[in-house]
Amino acid sequence: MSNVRDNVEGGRRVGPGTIYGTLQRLEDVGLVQALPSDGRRRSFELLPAGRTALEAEALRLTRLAELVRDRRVLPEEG
Amino acid sequence: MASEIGVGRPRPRFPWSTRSYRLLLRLLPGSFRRRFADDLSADFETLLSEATRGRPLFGWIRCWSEILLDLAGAVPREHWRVWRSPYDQRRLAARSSQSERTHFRRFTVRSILFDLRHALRALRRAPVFSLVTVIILALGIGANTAIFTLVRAVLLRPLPFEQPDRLVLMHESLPAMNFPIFPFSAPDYLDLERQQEVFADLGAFVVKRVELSGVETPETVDSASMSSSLFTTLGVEPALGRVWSPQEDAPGHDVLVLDYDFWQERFAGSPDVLGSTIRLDRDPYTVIGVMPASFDFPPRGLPVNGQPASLFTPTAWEPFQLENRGMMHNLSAIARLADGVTLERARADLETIADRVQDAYGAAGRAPGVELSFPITPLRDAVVGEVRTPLLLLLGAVGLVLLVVVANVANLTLSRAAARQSEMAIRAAIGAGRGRLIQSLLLESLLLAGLGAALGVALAQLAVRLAIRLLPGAIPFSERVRLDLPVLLFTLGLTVLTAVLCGAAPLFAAGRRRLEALLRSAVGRSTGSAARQRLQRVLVVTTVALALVLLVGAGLLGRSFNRLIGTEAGFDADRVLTMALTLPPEAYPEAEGVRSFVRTLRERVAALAGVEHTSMTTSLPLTFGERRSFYPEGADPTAVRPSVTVTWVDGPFFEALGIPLEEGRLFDGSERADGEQVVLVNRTLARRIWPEEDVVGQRIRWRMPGSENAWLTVIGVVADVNDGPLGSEPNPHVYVPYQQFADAELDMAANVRSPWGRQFQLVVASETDPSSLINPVLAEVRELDRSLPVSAVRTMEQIVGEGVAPQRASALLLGAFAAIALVLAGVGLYGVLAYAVTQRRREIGVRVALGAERSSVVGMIVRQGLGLVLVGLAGGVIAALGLSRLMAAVLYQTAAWDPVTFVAATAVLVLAALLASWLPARRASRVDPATALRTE
Repeated sequence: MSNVRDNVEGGRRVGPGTIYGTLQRLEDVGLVQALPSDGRRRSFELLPAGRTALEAEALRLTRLAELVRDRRVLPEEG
Repeated sequence: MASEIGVGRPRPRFPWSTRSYRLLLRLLPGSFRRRFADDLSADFETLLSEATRGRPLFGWIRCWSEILLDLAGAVPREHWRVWRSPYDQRRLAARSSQSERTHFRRFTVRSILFDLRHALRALRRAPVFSLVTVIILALGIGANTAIFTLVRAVLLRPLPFEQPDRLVLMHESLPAMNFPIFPFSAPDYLDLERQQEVFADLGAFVVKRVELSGVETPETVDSASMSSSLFTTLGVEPALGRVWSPQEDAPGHDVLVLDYDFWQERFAGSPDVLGSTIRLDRDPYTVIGVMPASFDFPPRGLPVNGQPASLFTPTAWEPFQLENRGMMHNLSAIARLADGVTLERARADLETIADRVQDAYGAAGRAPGVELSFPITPLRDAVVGEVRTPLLLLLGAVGLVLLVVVANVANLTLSRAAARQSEMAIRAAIGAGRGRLIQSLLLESLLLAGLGAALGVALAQLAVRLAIRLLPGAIPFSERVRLDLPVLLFTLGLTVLTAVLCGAAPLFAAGRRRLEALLRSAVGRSTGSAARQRLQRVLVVTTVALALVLLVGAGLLGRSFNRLIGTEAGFDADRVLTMALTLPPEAYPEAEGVRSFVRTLRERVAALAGVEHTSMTTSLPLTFGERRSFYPEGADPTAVRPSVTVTWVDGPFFEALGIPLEEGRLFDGSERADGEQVVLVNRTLARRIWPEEDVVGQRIRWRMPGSENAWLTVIGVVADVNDGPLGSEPNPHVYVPYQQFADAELDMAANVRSPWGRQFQLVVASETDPSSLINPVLAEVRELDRSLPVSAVRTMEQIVGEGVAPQRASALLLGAFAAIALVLAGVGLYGVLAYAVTQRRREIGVRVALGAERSSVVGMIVRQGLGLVLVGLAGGVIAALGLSRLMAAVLYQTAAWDPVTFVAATAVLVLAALLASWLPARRASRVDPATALRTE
């Protein structure tokens, strides 16, 4: 959870309400699915559609990053 | 990706904070809270413990603010999700069952917006196709909008009076004496008014030109003298002030009501005008009211008195007018049928009254065979009767033009569909259903039709304004001709219809199975392609047939118009200037004063440089003048005889207008009111009355009530001149020297304020350009009488042109429509053949490789084109024969099946077809066999 909090949205902190809401939505559209609870922690696993979406999104972001670099829109990072 | 989430800890480290947080969680939707409440509070505790590790108070505050912000976002979001979820569930269910097709569902707002964007892009990619299509559609839709605007204003909108369907127009009629319609005299009208029992109300009116003085430039305006009851008959109220009462409708009450436009123009719409004085024919009148803008009276188009007036005055009949029957027939009457009275009953009632009125004329009125009647017509028919047929004809013609346009655009769309087969195939492959593809094609044609309509409406606006400017007086209620909301709705409906016919109809026509093939097939081989080509041929054939109908229609009207203007009107219109002037009785009370003014003005104008002949006359050719009845010496005075037109002339009238003398001599200027009374007659009169005898030396006498009239000796016969519209049968005509106009008659006219005998047309035959004489002549008039207005300054050629302007406009419009249809037919044929050549490249290549002559290739393609055209021509000739009969009413000396027109129209179409076929044929003949065979 702290992982999520620290890495999402460019360093902005994300609260639990937002995180569980997002998980619920991902589950609604069939990208993730909750695993049977072991009583202590609630776990979600990525479904195939979720993986595809993730890959597509990752690809999109990579391309965007490349585009930004190629066009020299922003100063390159170290 | 599962994160570290702690649940079920034995003891909260922050009992108060945790309890508060759980309370806040109640704001979340139940389902969400029940599922995640424990996880949320566990995470909350973790966060709080982490945050308060270093600096407890600061950390606690920061953690709580973050949590509150988080909840502020999450609470509405989750509620929205739960609220939406039934819909989302349905959507998901649909999606899973339909899989990828969901994206291509039709008729949703999103799909329509998507297709619209797609259509815009597609049209931008094919700019030539788009531009051509939009222009063609604009012509079709614009022409329809323009003509419909006219039809609506003139034929469809009710007359601007109360319950206009109950209004009728009445005149007198003596068919046996060549008076099919003539106006009422005051006594006849009053008899009718007193005796009738079928009308709720009725009123009489007459339009006359009056002189408006006391203004910068003297001028004449049209003024309507109306009985006070006419306002109630029509059901109109003044916009300002009042109208006159029945008591004021008598001599001595010089009151006046203004027309709205006149009030706006002359008095800037000021209410102060009430009570002010206006001088008409140099008499003072007091303004008592202003009519509303919608009151446009009398309506244009009436057979008599059909000239909208600027001023309204009481009829104020003088005792002389009321006592003398059979004189001064100038009134039109409008009546409102009483409740429950039919037109037939009113006619029957009027027949009885007409009988009694005829009796009142005494023995002279009871000639055998002479039957006076009071014919009535619904006012609407009287107003629009003349223009109904031409307007409906044009409406039909533009309807045909639209069909040609639709067929053509459908053809273009089909060709384009062929070019876009791969695109359609791809869309169908990734799940677009038939409906969705049709939707997208339909939207594309809607977009095209919409653009065409926008351009078309702009064109129509221009066309309508131009029509009104070019046809003054020919269009009743022209001020109501507007492109208003109903017209725009009509255009909208037309646009949608056009779009559907152009875009989707070909697809539907192809049939369901073929459609699938049409949309998905690969180029050139499938049944879809064959179906499309068949459809395109049908469209070309249809276009050719419609174009032929329009060409025949235009040809017939053109020939009729040519015959009309080629008619021997009996006079020479070249280099003749005319202008109208009326001497007001107030300023010219004495007969001698009038006669000397006429003589003096004529002599002074004759002395101007460049003037060949000058004459004054009471009526010009092509206009109806005074009508009288007469009898020749030695014949029964009461026998039935046609009435004659009477024209009073001063000076060399016949020389100025080039009217040839056929027998005897012309007037020599020595004629006097107290000398021997002489007249000239026209050929028609001479032939009817004295078919065998010598005409010169015969004597006639006017059949007029009152004093015994003098015998008039015929001194010569002149050629027939049209005194009605060009093309009408010449009327028997008598010309009288103006100097014979009797003192008593001029005095009488002055007494009843009639312009009779004081209304002149100055006719000036020029050696050069007649318009160069306008200013010198006007200067002469001003010298004689500074305040005398001159109106209707026109050349005789203009008068002739104005008379046939409606026919000219009809012929030109139909010609333009036919030209559009011809071009479109050619373009359609060209398109089909050009495509066929592309398709048959390989075959042609083989033929050429095997030794076919280039000329035989050309012949093959041209034959294919002509084959289509011949089928179209056959259909077109049959349709044209059927439809042209509807035109018979508007044709002049031209048969509806006029062979010259049919042959010419067919020849023109064949020529156009040859041209349209030859271009692709030439391309076919240049096919290089090697290239053609290699590329396949």
